[in-house]
Amino acid sequence: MVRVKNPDEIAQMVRSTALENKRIFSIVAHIDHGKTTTTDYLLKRAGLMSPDAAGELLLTD
Amino acid sequence: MQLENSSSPTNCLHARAGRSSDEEERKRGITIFTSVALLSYDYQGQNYLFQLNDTPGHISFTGEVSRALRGSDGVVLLVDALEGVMTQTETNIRLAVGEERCKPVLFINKVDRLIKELRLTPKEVGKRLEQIAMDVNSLIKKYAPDTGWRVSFQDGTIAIGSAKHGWGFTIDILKEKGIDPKVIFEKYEKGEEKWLRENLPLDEPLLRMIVKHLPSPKEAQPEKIRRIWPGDQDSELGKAMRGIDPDGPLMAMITKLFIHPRTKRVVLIGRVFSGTLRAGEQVRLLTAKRLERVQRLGVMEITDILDIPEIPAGNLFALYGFHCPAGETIVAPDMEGVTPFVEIKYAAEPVVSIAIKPLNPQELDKLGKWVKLWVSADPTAQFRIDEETKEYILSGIDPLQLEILTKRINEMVRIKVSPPIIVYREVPTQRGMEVQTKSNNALNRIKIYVEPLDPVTVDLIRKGVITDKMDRKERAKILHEKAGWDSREARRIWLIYGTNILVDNTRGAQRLDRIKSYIESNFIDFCNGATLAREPTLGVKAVITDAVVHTDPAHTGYSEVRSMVMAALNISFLTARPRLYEPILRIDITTPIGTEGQVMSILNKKRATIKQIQHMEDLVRITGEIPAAETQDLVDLLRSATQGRCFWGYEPSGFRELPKAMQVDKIMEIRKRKGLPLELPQPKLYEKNLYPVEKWTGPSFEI
Repeated sequence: MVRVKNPDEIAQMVRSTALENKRIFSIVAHIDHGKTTTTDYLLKRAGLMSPDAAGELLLTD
Repeated sequence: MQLENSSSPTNCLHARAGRSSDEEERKRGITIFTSVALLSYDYQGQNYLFQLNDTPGHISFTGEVSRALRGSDGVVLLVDALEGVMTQTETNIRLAVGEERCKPVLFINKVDRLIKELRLTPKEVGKRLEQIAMDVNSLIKKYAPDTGWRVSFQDGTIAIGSAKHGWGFTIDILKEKGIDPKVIFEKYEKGEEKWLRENLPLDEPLLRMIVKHLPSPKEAQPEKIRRIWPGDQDSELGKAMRGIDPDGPLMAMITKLFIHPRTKRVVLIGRVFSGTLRAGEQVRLLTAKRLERVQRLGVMEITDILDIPEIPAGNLFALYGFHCPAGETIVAPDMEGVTPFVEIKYAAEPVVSIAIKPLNPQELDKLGKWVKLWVSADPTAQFRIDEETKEYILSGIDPLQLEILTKRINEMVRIKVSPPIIVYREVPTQRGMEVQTKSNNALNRIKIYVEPLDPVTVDLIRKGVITDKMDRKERAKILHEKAGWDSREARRIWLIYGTNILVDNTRGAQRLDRIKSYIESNFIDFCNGATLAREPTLGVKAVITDAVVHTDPAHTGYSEVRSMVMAALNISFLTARPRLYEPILRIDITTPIGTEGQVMSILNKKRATIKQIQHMEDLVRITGEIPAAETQDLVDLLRSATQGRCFWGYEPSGFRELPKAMQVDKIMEIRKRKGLPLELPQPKLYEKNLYPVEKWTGPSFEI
């Protein structure tokens, strides 16, 4: 589920120096192979965001 | 947006997608997902933070894709279980794994379709999945042979599943949970997709693969820096970047532009490689050579910035406050003169163009502003202004790219859009005559010849091995060693424009430097629209062999220089056996067994060449090449021949000489469209600038 955290906590996680616990990655696919569905799914299942953004995500559903 | 020919762009869209059912899904996705998203995942007692760096979904944006990937350390390759590895999959592997060296894992999606639509047995599904893994691995090996990277079911670097139904697994997850893969078939049989979603949720295998098999910035960045930063690796800056030092000198790169769908504000996305970026501070843009202030800084959330006042090395960032093209290097204000990141290489050779103008003529300036912005966000697009019609001519590498560009622009300024037009190339096929001309005032003279640039040099330009901006000596060395250029001539290159080169091979011509910029700008004009039909040139080498420049600058103005340079270039070009070349697309069609005969017969009528026919269990895959101009109604033909059951994709694959029988007709067609006289151009037209006799006595031009 979406993890809603306050902005300070998110800022702290981003600024964390524990780089081994970070991953920066992309998803690439042929058009229509399902990249959008997959990224949307990941965002809804594991997204980390502030209450404002989580509200916006709900609105787009 | 008004479309003069509303059917064609939609056609192109369908052509790309292969089918339109997912169009809605795509639209929906664009509204939810943006450019960078944060994800969080707990694994074996550790919390992991992911920064998912989105790339443009459409392959037209290869330039954008490469830049976005420059910010990433790893990549999830996503392949449709039914369609398998397609042309764009190969392009993606080439860009992501080969060029940007992002370590790959694989997710095979839409496995539900094999079970529900094709009704394959578990054994057949297994075979299909093995085949995809093999195909992917052979491409990884092809484009990144030195890395030793591969994906495998056993290692847990391949996940399979269905994003639509929300389930997936890797072999280790299946073992852990003690689930037999046959259960998947049973559950689909019973219509119990919910069970799959709840017991094998897809986020688990995907996030676990990323944690276990994709590198952290700590592991990936040192190698990345060696590849993308040509500076001294052992300097203070080099060490700081390789060590991801948040207290080191600031070094960051802009990897993409995100334009807010509602507010239209431009947010720059990038990555900090060393030091710490801070909101409110000034930064230096190394390529643009100017100072700017970071007004807002943070990470992207859906479509807005979540403010974080400091972003240290090893993170992506989103910033607001100024505009610059993607690829820009951002440093601290006092770091003037440090080496910027290398430019991303892409061959932007437009093959299609459209003309746009504002519905309200008073919005011409406003339109210009947005055209510039959007084109700067897409490195494979170009624009120019047609001085006569005051239209903006946008060029790109395929019609859908232009359709998306115009949609983006139309959101800012209401525009009228012309149908897409194929852009041909004018190519010299033999060495032209050395022509001596004089300026209109007869006080200056120049001697020039035009010849085809050798294929090796064209290839070096396309691959970005030699560029206009690079060090002259280094470039000459490469040209001498790899393409057999004469060393002196190679050192005397004035300009590389597109795939064209201008050389000053004069000996002791005085004051030539004074008119150098005028000659260069006329050469560029010539390359943008040459003699046959004002289409751009490909592989032109123009060599200046002698020049007489008047001592008084009052007599060497732009129009004087233009009159003699253009006459010489045009005449010599016409004697170089120029021909029209047409853009070619690589095409990749997968169609059910039994329909391949009809598909082939359609392709044959479209001047296509078939490269390979591959039989899979229930499908036939046909790959080949087809002229871009022949793809207009191809979608409809393929659809009706296969009852909509064939999938296909294509991508640009260079240029080929238009068949002889079509040359003159096509030249006339283009000339008519551009309002040029409907006859083949002749050297005679330029004879008043010939020197010493103002008369063309050579052969007339024929095809």
